[in-house]
Parts: sequence; structure tokens; C-alpha cells
Amino acid sequence: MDLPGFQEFVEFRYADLLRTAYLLTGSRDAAEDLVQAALLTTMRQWRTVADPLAYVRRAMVNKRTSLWRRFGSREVLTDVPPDRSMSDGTAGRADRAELLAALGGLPVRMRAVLVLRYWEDMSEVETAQLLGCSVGTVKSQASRGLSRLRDLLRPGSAQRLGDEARVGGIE
Amino acid sequence: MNVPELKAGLARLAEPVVPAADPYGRLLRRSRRVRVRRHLAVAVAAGLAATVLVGGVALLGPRHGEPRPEVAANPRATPRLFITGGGFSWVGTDGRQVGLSPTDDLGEVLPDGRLVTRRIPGLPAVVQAVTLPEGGFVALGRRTPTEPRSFALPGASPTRASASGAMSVAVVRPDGSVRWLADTAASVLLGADDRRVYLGGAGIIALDLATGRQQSLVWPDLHADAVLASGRFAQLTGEPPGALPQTCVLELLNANTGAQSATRSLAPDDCWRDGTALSPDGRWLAIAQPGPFMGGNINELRLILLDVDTGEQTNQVLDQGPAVGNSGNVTFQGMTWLNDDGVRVVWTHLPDHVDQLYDRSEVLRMTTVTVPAQ
Repeated sequence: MDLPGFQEFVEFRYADLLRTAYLLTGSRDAAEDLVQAALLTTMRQWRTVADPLAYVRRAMVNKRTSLWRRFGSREVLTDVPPDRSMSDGTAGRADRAELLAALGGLPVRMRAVLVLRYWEDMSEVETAQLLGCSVGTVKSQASRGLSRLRDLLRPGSAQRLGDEARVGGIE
Repeated sequence: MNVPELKAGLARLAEPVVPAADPYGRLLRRSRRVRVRRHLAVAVAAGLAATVLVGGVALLGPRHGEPRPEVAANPRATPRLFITGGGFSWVGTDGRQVGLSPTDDLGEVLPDGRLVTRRIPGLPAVVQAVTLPEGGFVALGRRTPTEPRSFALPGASPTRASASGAMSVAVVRPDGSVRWLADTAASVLLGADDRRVYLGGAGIIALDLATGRQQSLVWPDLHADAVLASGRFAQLTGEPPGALPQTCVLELLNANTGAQSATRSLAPDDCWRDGTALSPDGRWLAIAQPGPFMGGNINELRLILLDVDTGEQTNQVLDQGPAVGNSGNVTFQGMTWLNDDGVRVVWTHLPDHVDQLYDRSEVLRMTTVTVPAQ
């Protein structure tokens, strides 16, 4: 297979893509699957792709969305058990589990907007282009996503958070 | 939750996610599996169609998918060997500057021995760099090029790079892009683990790799010349301070608390603190030793491998030049452990008759030393 630059692209970008995929899915195995599936799609189009990184990101988001449409109602991908972690002195870990569960309670596209905007540091325009929606949609999804996270992470929302994580994101 | 909190939270979530080794190889294997499955599916479909056509009954059981490849628990990228600065020059017999060209460039010695220059956007003058577990690196340097440091150059500044301007620290991804670039009060890099980069020179500073934030640690036992691996720091302490050491002590410190956990006495001549590296498993300390402190060949490079748990050690000469100043200079440049069993050392060796300024790449030498067989 002769795809100039593809191997370097994979080796250089894999770690970052994997982290983004993890934030999109909430599971290491699912993240690995998602990145590899997106990269295989990219590999087939490598010679015609102008901006490989954007292409892979878009492929990841689209695959994640279509996977959720197929399995979202019966498969929850999460690293944490449905019951919410309680603080046992390992505060950082509990915080992570809490945020992961809260992200799991967001609709899949809203979660993608938050990850792209605030993890990938993409602009609203770039995010809109990648997701194939309007800038206004990105703004409103980001704002509502933050608001919803705030709500989910508010003290006393433990039971609700567990329930949200249990049913997965609903669009 | 506001935007900065969300960003920090996402960074904390993503921080422990480290890819398994050889992502490209894994991708190719998956590609092959997908292709095989597709061909198999076509063949099975054709077979079923043929069976149905001839009125037979397919007796095929459910096919189990291939097992998922094991994901390494915490895979580590191969350590990268960086060298910085190290130039020195003097006036030759014909009045020209000769020796080793000083440079601000960050050099990386590749596994095949080639020396390449790594450019860090926004940080042109790098004084030190260490590998990060995920394959990137962290570099310490200045945002403006260094003034000449050789005392022999007219108008040269005798101040060290770290003292002649504000220092900055850059966290660089494996692809060379900069993740964090920030000013720092530190002037030395001690090392890095999955979570933090440890810096010294103004107390101990921890840089959080997820958020880029720097925090001072009150760890009075830890010195700026310590090295880090496998959850512990190792440092050499020579007494009396600021003089030729009469005694030398190896100290091990817990990387979570900075508290001293063990000490071991060494020979005073082993107390070379400018070139140390701890093996990834934290068992072996490599000490680059440019000969004894007094009375030895000034153009010599030795390597001590010390088992920090048992005190067992080997000491071997890596290179020698003539025991004469300004002739055949042998200068340690850097080293890194490739794995638990082998450490790669690079140094420069100038010709016996030095009649020009040499670039590092022209006079660089390298060897890999393995630990004693168990």
C-alpha cells in the first residue's frame, strides 16, 4: 500500500484523535474502534482528502452519531458503572467519573459540539462546517450543553445523573 | 460549570487516555481483518445462495468475531534522545575561533544515529528537553535567541542562558505542534510522568499536563538535578556543597510526595550530577562521568551503571582523547534509556588537532550500554 504521508499522519495524530474519540464516546474501547474506523475511511480517500485532520474528525463525529442511532437505545458506552461514583478520597477520579457521566447524559450532537469547541478548540465556524450545521446551531448547542452540564453536575443531582447515564444520550 | 471549568474537566478526562504502541500497524491489521471479513461474507453469501438454489440446507453455526486485540494498560512511547547547547570555543593558533559551535537548536538523535533539529514555534532557544510518555516532549528555553556564551568571543555575555532572560516551558505533541507554551520561574527540567512535568531551579514546580497550570511544590528534599522514572526521583548529593565532594550520597524520593525513601553512599568520584538518567523501571541509575574529579584524563567519558537497590555497579570507559587541554575534547551531550536494559549515550569528540569550529553533527558519537546480565 503506497499512501504517502498516511503513516506519519496516523502516528502523529493518533493520540490526539483517540482522546477526542474518548470524549465523544466515554469508553476507551469504543474510542479505539471509532478512531480506527474513521482512519480506515480516511485511508480509502487519502489521495483526494485536502484536510485529513478535519476529514477524520468529521468521520468520527458522523460514525459516532450513526452508531448511536443504531445502538444508542440499547448500548451504553461508558467507563463507569451506572451508579454514580462517590468520593472516597480520590477526588480527581470521582470528578472525572462525574463529568463523564454528565457528558453521557447529553445528546450525541450536543456532546460533539462541546468536545469540538472546548477540547479541540475549534471556532464556531469550524465546528459548524465539520458538523454540517449552522453557526447559530453550534452557538445554541454549546450554550445549552453547558447549561445542561451545569444542571447535571449540581449537588443533589446524583440520582438524575445516574439515570441519564443509564439511558445514554437522547437527541 | 463555565467554559474554563469544562475545558479543564475535558483535559482531565482525556489525560489518562494513552494509545497502544504502533497505531499504524494496528490499523493495518484491522484493515486486513475487515477485508477478510468482507470477502468471507461474500463467499458465505454466495455459498448460501448456491445451497438454497440446489435445495440444500445451510448448516452454518454462528461465527464468532475475532477477539479484540489486547490494549496495553499504559503503553510508553520510545524515549527520545535530545541534546542542547554544549558548544565551547577558543582562539586557535591562527587567531580564529575553533572548537564546537554553540547553538540554541534542540537536537534529537534518532535511533539510526542521525542528528535532526526540532523547531518549536515560539521557543527558538532551547536549553533542555525530555520525552513525555505519549511520545511528545517538554522543552525549556527562552523565547529570544541566546547571546553568545563563550568567554573567548568578543563582547560575549558570561551569563548562563537561564539567567539572561525569562524562561519558558513548552509542551510539544508528538507531531511537533505546541500544546502549552508558558513562562516559568524554573530553569531546569527534572522529568515528566503521565500527569505532570517537574521543573526546578526556583523550588520545585509541577506543570499539569492536562491544564498547563504550574504549581509550586513544597518539597525541600528534592534538588534541581534529580531525575525521575517509575514513580521515584533519584539524585546525587555531594558534601561539602560547592566544593570537591568528600562524600557522595544517592537519594531516592517518592514522586508523589517528594519525601526521601532511601539513601546509599557512593564513592566521591561518582558524584557527577550533570549527567544522570534513571531506567524506566527505576532500578538503574546511569551516571555519565568525565573521569575523576582530580588527577584524571580531562578528555575521557565513563559511564557508571548503578543498581540503586543493591548498590552493584559497573564503570566503563566509553571514549578517550589525549590527556591534554584543547585537543581531542570529549564532551558528554546526553543520554536516555531505550528500555529497562539499555541506555544510549551521545557525546562529541573533537579531532586531536582542532583548526575550525565544528557542528555537533560532525563530531557526534553514540553508543548503547546494556545493564549487567542477571
